Amino acid sequence: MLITRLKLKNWRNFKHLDVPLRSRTYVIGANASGKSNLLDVFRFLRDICKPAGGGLQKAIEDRGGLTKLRCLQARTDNEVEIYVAISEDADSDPIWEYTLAFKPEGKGLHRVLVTREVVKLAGRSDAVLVRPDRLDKKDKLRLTQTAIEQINSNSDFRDVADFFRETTYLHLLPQLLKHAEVATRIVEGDPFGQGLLQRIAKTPQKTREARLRRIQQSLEKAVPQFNQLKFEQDKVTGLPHLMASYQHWRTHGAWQREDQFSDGTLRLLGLLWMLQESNSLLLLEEPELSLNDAIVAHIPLMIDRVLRKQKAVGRQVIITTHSDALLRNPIDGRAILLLEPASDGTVARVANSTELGLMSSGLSPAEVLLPKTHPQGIDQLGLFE
Amino acid sequence: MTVTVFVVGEDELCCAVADALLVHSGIDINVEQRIVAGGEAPFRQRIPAMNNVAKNVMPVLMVADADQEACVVVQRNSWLPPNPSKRLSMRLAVKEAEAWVLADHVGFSKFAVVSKDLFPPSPETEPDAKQALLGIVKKSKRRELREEMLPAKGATSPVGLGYNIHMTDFVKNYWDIDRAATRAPSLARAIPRVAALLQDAAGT
Repeated sequence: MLITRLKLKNWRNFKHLDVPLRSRTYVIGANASGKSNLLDVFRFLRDICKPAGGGLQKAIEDRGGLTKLRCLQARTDNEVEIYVAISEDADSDPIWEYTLAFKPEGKGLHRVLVTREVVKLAGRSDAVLVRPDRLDKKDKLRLTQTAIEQINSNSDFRDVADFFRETTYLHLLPQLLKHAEVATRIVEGDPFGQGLLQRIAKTPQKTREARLRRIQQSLEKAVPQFNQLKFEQDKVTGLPHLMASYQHWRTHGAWQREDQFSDGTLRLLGLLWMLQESNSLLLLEEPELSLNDAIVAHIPLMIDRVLRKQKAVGRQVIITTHSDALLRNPIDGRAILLLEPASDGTVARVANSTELGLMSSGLSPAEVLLPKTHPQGIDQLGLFE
Repeated sequence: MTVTVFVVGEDELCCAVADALLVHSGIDINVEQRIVAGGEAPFRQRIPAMNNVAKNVMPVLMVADADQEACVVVQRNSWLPPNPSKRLSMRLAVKEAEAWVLADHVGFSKFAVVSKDLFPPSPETEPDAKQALLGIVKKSKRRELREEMLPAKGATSPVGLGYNIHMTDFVKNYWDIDRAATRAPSLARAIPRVAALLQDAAGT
């Protein structure tokens, strides 16, 4: 299953957004145009559905309250609305449609209340869930929670809750992995990849070895002198470690631990591991960071290959990027979202027919779409006084 | 004596073809640098600078697609500066470099595991060599090629994500230039010219 359409109202810097999504979607835009905010919608839905410590109130609170979440341009209408359509594949009609809207109470306790929660299933004439219902009107406190976060209320659409909950977000920060002492607390859901080693340690041995073998095959090509990757538990401390051997003047090469890996090697390793970890929506934040352009250029093909080997070609991956090298690939023009900041919040759009025509004539998205994300006046950047 | 050369290709395939032409000459070469221009316009923009490199530093081989131009010689002369260096060699593949690839029908049929009968006898006269090539890949028995070289259904991209790496692999490891030259006249003309460029530089 994958998300094929996303509609937003007043979500962070998007006053209105309505875009189609495909199994690989690339989100491009200038700095501060809202690429991460767009990915955050899916993390928000995941946070609502989390079995331990989830829920709407917590998800909003974690983001600094509704005032931080709501679009600054939302002056008269202060309701936030999220609509998501889920289909079997990118070109088929939605199976599930989920809508959630909420806004501040505006008086009394100033709680955030659900103003609408609707679930529709293809083939059913009436909606599976429509809130607020009779009970909600009697007991307003019910509106502080969504139905999707509650096992008792979501039994008819558990699939949707499970789907949201399985979402993975990755923005691996190599420094956090290398210097575990800097941040001992792992943020929920491990967005920065600090817990990568623990994840690897928890995986059953056979699966782990198969995955590491695939990673090794890719790294061999990308990292010079790299030749073997293995997992080891420190005999004294019991801590898990990754070891890589590099070809060397010594016959057996030199074994190095993850804290000696380069930032790029670690990011690539994290990316390749996460691709293999589950079959649900994967959000990748700027996978090109710390990597050489020649490697970045192969990221789209690498993602396809790993997923094909996993028999998970249909897995949805949403990627934010600035990278020219990545977008020089013959990427499907329909799978690119362009974010353009405007006076009334950021506008998100897919390529128009002219741009699609240019790309089918053989121009790459880097030539057709990327220049449109360059901020205006950037050529004057060096001239400020 | 090793000859150091500078290579510029319009795209990755052109670059790989240039490399293969240099290796085919039999002269010991060392490619100082390769530039993949990424399109006709950036390729043409580099011509003046490459002419200077040829004049002052080392021999240069530039390879590009001629596209739909009627006569490659007229086209090349219009691209070159008025006083081109003798050490600058520019070769244009009639229509597209894909035609040169298709011209080795034996090699490509081995590479893609397809019948030799599918190949056009004179690929340089094909109106769209790339489409002809993709049509052949569609019938390939190698699933990897079908999945990675062909565009996804309905996609706007003309080729798949792995098109370049598989084409480069073919040119490096399977392509027989002499066999291809018998079916591609513009390639046949390129072979002695590239060899002459290197021989002059080697001083033989």
